[in-house]
Amino acid sequence: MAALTTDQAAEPETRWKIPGIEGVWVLMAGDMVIFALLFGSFMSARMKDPGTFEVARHTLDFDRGGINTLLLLTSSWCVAMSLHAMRAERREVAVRWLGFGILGGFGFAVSKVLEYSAEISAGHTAGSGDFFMYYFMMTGIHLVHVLVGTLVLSVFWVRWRSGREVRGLTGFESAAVFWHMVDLLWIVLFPLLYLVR
Amino acid sequence: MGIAPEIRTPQQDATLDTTDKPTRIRGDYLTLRWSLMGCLVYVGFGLGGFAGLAGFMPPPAEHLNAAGIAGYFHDRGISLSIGMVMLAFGGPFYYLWSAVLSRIISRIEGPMGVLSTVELLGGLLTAWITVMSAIIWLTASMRPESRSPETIQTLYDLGWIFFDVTFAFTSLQLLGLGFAILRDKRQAPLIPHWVAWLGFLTAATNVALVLMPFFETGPFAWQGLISFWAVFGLFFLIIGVVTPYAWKALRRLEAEDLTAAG
Repeated sequence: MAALTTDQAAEPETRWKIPGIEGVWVLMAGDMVIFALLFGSFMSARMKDPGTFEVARHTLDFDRGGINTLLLLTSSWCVAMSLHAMRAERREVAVRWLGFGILGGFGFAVSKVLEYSAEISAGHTAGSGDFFMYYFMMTGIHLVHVLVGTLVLSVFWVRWRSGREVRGLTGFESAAVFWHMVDLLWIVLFPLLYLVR
Repeated sequence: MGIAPEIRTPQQDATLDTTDKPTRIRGDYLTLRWSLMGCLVYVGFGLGGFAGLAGFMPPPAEHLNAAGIAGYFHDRGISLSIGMVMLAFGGPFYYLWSAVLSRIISRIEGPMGVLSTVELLGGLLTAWITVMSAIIWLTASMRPESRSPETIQTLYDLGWIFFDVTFAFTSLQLLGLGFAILRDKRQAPLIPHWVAWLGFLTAATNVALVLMPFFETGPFAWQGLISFWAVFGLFFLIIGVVTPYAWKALRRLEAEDLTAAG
């Protein structure tokens, strides 16, 4: 508590502080630039061969894409609620919200694996032309982000549930911000791959 | 007189320790600063040879057939060979730079810390990969009149596979650097913590290189937007960001050591 008081004295309350660890924002900014390059590259390839891309797009499962979007958005909301509860020192409530958030991440991963399996069974792989190369690679890299995010959130869930002392929320804020970025990337990926005609 | 080494007594050593310590410290740090600037030779000769003389910016594409790649090597001729000699010469200077970072890391971690070794070995192996790839491409460029296009293509492919698929050495080096920076608990860290995260981003982006052998076109081919531009852009960015901070860190450590020496 003494340390907190000293910090508060050093920094006026009016000063806005970036949530989470500063460096995580650097990581995320770079990550988003790389995804932006992929999005641009996809659009450029699509413009060169719109007919083939359009035919390939119709083989995707739009309903599953929509369900995945809902899963991620809901999960993000749960994580935000968890942070909110933690700030209000309502740990049990925070653990519950975080549990729902993690379930959303798992649900998305399972749904995505089932979708891949259906696509591969239909004879579509990353080698079946440019559209499917972008589809498998972009959603695959995004899925890796989902798995990393779910793992990190699970670590917090286990620690909070064990009753261990929580020293500040900076780490969890970073995880939550990362989880929102994963969400944001999907919100761009979903229309780009499934909806844009 | 002869060539026998000068033998000093413990008393003479003790006197030397107190009188020459600041001089020795300054000498050490001068060597460290020169070694840190090894990155200029690496980047200068590396980019000059690879991009300037060999014209690998971007390189001949992965989807080209044997005749296309052999044609490029024939057209580029001696300048490609000189470029590869420059790349092979500049490569080892990367481990000089890494050796300095390794020394800085050793001041952050304890005597049993492994990160400084990871940094040093990662640097050495990255330098080795640079040199070996240059040697393979140099071999492809030699005696073009007597090599078949298929041989040139095979050597060119081998060079790229060697250059790209060995990324884990560099990624481990960057992870070592990143974790060391985050372990620095000084009030004003020697290298700011955000630099560690830039290192993690670079290490993670390198993983895209595992896709290179499977795609001849698009962003994951060796000349692609991710596998070439993003990966190498970030690699040079991290060198450019870390070097000035390492320079400042050396100045601080030198001042600390001189103060401690009295």
